[in-house]
Amino acid sequence: MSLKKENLIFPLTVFILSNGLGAFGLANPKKNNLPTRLPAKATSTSSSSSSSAPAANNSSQRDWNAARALFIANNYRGAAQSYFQISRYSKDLKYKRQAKYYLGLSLYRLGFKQTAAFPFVDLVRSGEMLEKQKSLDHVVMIADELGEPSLLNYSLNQIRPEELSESAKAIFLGRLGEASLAKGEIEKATNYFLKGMEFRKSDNSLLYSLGLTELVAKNPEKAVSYFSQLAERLKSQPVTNVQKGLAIMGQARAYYQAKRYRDAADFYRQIPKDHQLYRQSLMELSWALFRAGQFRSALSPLQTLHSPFYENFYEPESLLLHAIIYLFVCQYDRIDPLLLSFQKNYYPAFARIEEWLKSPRDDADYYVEIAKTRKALVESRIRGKISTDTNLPFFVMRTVLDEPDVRNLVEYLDKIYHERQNLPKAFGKSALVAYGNQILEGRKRAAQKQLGTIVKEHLKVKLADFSGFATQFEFLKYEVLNGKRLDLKKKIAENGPEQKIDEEVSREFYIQNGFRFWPFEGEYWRDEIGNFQYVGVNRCEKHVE
Amino acid sequence: MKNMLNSLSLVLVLALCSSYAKAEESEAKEFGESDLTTLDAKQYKKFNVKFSDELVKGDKENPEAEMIFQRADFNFKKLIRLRENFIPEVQKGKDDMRGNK
Repeated sequence: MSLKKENLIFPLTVFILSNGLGAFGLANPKKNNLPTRLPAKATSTSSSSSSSAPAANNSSQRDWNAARALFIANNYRGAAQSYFQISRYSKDLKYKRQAKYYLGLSLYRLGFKQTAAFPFVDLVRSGEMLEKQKSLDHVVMIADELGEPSLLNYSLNQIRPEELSESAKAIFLGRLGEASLAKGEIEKATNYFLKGMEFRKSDNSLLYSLGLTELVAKNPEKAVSYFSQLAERLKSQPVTNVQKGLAIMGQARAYYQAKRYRDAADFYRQIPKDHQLYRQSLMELSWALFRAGQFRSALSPLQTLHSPFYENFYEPESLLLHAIIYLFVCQYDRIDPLLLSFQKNYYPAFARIEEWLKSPRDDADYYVEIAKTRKALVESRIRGKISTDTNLPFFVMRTVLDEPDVRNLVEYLDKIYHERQNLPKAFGKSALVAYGNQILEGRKRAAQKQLGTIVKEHLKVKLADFSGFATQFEFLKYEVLNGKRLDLKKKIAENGPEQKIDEEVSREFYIQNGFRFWPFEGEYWRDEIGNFQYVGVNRCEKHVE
Repeated sequence: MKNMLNSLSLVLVLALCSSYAKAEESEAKEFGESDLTTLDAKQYKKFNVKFSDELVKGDKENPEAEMIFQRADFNFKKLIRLRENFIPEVQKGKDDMRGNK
């Protein structure tokens, strides 16, 4: 939400002049995303408080006037400090509550969103109806901007939708839609999302959720239309924009579900190489090409995915897909290294994860692991080399770190960290900084605990997934053996057993006899990524049964 | 008396033998062999059964080792799961659609 100053200053001045200190409603609410003007009762109460202010409150009134002047002059730094003082030390409850509201608003405009949320939450708990309403509106928006689930859940529990501004209503309806979708109530979910879009037409997440709902409802053609609308909206965004990429991927995925694999492949190919979703798009592109019967083309993106450039990524599905395609083109010899790679990398990694999950650990341990992973990733970007001291396998942890809920919480923790760094810069060593630090410290601890819990859950899911992949690889292994057996049978029937001259000679033999062995150390060129072409052929023949 | 006992035991033995033969015949009938006994030698057909193709031979060749037979008609390819949709991935993208990313 952006509250524009120019929309606020003039009407606010006029309103304050005409209504006195109790002026609480802000003009032009639609542009400011704030509730409409005060109900008559509330306005009169506020006015009466200022007009009938006792003599003892003269100083409070002076402080209030000073704070107000700073706020109107866009001096939010000064205003926040003054309102903080009033909210703490004023003896007049009305001043106190109103000061809390403006303290929240000033902090919000300074970018201290987490600290700003607290005075608002305080008012939601203890304020009068109007203050509660306006504060709740801000809490919903702050929670949405911070991506902090517990604050959003808190505010949604307090809400009566009719009390909200239009933007907050759209957020609220979006959340209701998500809850319905999770329960499998497709029609209800669609209605909530459509209703939400009536309040905020430009909301990309609602349009995306509509596309998702249609996919779940097995209406991929409808989903394509929603994702195309979204892509059209984001047309002017840079090519690396995440949302733009998601809109393109959405179209591709919808076409895939509709079994229009060639169309899907066309959209997957639109994801540029420097996009965050490129790696994922390669795997899905390969699926699309494979399902379209273009086996050789399907193997090309997998060559990229299994190049050393992506060696530190968790990719069991791409390994499996690679093996499945080789199976379909009867390239049995090429499946063996894939099976070996799965066994060598994934079995020990998941044995470690299983052991870790079984041992007594608390959320903090999981948080430490994910924090170490993140640190290693940041350092790798600087040094160009990954060195990690995580107890859990790095390539699995970096995938967990990439899960949206984990990423959101990590980003939230970053925001808290930056807010904590910036508070003293803005307010020096004032009591407001101590107040902010206390809030931020509490939020940090809660978020870290929550992050630990989420990471643990993701690891459990990954372990279950691994077991599914392991079973699939077992089936594959059987099919490979069977394929080899049939091949051999055919060869024997035709020519007798074939034996190569050096078949029985091991590599050691050559090394001992003066030859040198240079192991492949993963040489690759960065600009080759995405351009690998598989040139093998389909070796399938009619088997002799 | 002795002669009588000897002849009685002989009768008993003969009776037992005949009942055993009858039981064997009925068992043979049950398994369909009685038809074979009625066939002439000319009607016998020679046929060979090769187990080597379908038998997976293990390293151990002792009575404890398990014998594994392969079912020729079993196709594990059917059990390999192919992707039908990417709904979980679309769901993951939901969070990125919030705010400006």
